[in-house]
Amino acid sequence: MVADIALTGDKLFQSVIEQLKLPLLHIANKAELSSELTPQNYSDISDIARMALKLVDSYMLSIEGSNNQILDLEPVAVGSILRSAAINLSPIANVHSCNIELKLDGSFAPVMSNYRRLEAAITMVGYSLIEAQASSNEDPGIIITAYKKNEKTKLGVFSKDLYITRDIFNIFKDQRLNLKQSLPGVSFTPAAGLMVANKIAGSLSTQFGVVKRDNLKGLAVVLSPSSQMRLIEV
Amino acid sequence: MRTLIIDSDKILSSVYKTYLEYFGHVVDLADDGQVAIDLIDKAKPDIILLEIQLKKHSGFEFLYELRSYPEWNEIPVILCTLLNKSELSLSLVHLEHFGVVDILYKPTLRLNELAYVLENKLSVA
Repeated sequence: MVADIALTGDKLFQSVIEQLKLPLLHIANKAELSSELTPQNYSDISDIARMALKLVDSYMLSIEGSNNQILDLEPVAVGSILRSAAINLSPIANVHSCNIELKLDGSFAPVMSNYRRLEAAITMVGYSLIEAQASSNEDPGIIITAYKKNEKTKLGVFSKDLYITRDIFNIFKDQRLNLKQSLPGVSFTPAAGLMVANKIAGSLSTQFGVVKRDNLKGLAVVLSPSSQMRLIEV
Repeated sequence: MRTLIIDSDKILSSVYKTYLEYFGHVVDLADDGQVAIDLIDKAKPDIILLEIQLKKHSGFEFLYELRSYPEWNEIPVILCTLLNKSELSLSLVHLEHFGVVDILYKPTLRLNELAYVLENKLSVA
């Protein structure tokens, strides 16, 4: 059991490190080009680097969560979380010419969670889906959304590109089921962000699941509304 | 010199294209094998820069298809990949009969080296 946990941790670390190769490669090449080119490259360099740093920060957050610390849960405004994630993702989405849509389906009571962790988890899912669609021939886009189901609140990110994200979701499901899979095979699919997101979700006593809605596929967590704040819907 | 870059990474392809065009190359971009075949049919490149890990299909599949066209057999191909040699599990010797003339490792490849290799390999080929 201890060995299994160590192996899973090592695999996650390896996956994160592998995923960092790509943004660092982009940074290095854009920096090299920058001496002869446009200011847009400077902006892109900064945005790519910052998102890679966010991946590192989120990984560190997921590690903190796995040390069985008692987390401070608080009522968290659903709209605020999603708006914050959208703001985090906007720069990297621009780099990849990926559209972000923010969609709140109704009004929501605050949910009992941890703002920083939930925001990081949603951001990481969004980042993974943006990167996954980066080479799509169609208009890449993600939808950051919340909706109600069976008196619970679902928060998640949907992808407009079903073809690309099908592989991502299959890998995600395999990781969740802990099936043996060669990490190099997934290292250039941005699964590390999803794994980090799910690890963070675990520390919040929830998990990301593959969901379908309005003919789109996405990943979402289920959270319970705060019983004290239930009367307040925003 | 006309170069075809086949890579699903649009950021990197764009950087390579911009750099090479600055030094007078004509550069076409394709993000998968089928788009590449269509482009080659319209304008035959002098050399191809190919990433093995394409999003939809493997670069090797493209290589097999390219070499099925006799009129394109002489186009040299340079593999330019994020995979290191141990991950690639192939050596240049095995790839030579597919017309692969070099393997470049992206993390250590500088842009000026890319331009030099393209021109050098083309003159040798």
